[in-house]
Amino acid sequence: MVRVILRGIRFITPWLLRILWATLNVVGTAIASLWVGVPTATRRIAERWVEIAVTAGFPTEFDQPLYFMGRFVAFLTIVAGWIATAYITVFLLRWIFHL
Amino acid sequence: MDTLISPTARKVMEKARSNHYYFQVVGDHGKLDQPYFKNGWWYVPEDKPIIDQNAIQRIELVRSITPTRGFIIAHEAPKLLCPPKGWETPRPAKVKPVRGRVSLETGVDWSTVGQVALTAAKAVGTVLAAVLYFLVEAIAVFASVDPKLIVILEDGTWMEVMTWYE
Repeated sequence: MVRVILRGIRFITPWLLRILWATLNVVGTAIASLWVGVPTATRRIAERWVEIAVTAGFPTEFDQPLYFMGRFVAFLTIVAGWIATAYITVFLLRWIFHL
Repeated sequence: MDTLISPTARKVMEKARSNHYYFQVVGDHGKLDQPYFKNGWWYVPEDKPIIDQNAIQRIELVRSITPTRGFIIAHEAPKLLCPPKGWETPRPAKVKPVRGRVSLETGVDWSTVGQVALTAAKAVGTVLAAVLYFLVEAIAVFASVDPKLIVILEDGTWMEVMTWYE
């Protein structure tokens, strides 16, 4: 039984760390977008994604649709980051002040 | 290829970027008279390339900045590797026939088992065929050569305006 639990922990831990890292990234993106503005942030993120895709061999025939899809996904990422930030803020306030 | 960027080419690239197109300078060799091979790519001059509306829009964007001197379609020529020396095609191993008595167990309705197995095999076969079909399609798309449409600017710069899978 102990072995099963240890295996479970070994299996789950990397995924938990990845999820945590992805959440931190999303929160960081959302906070950064407060400084530069959402349109600028989505534009920069989408341009970077298109550049990576084209460098990796993606056909430039679809660079324009890819850019707009990237902007949409970047916007969704920022919104998800705001939601995650709000949850973390409420959690920390309740934890600190025992609300 | 040289990647010297002229002021005109820079203007074209800036306008392309503002329209969310991704152009690249791939050389400055001027007009091409005959097909030319370099670094695994064939550069074929085309006076009137057969291209779609997407490419026409890109060419119009270039022409709004500077006149063009021609077009080039670049095709990748993949290198075929020879097999290593001493390579022999593997031969299938011979299976020894089973010898001895084979006793059939009683109490099992083999016709039902066979029908169930046949149905299961059909279902699995259908799923596998579908997966295989999509895999073959994906491999066919990504393994095919990817031509490039290159526009020759008036100053001789080769500007790649579009790539696609054939």
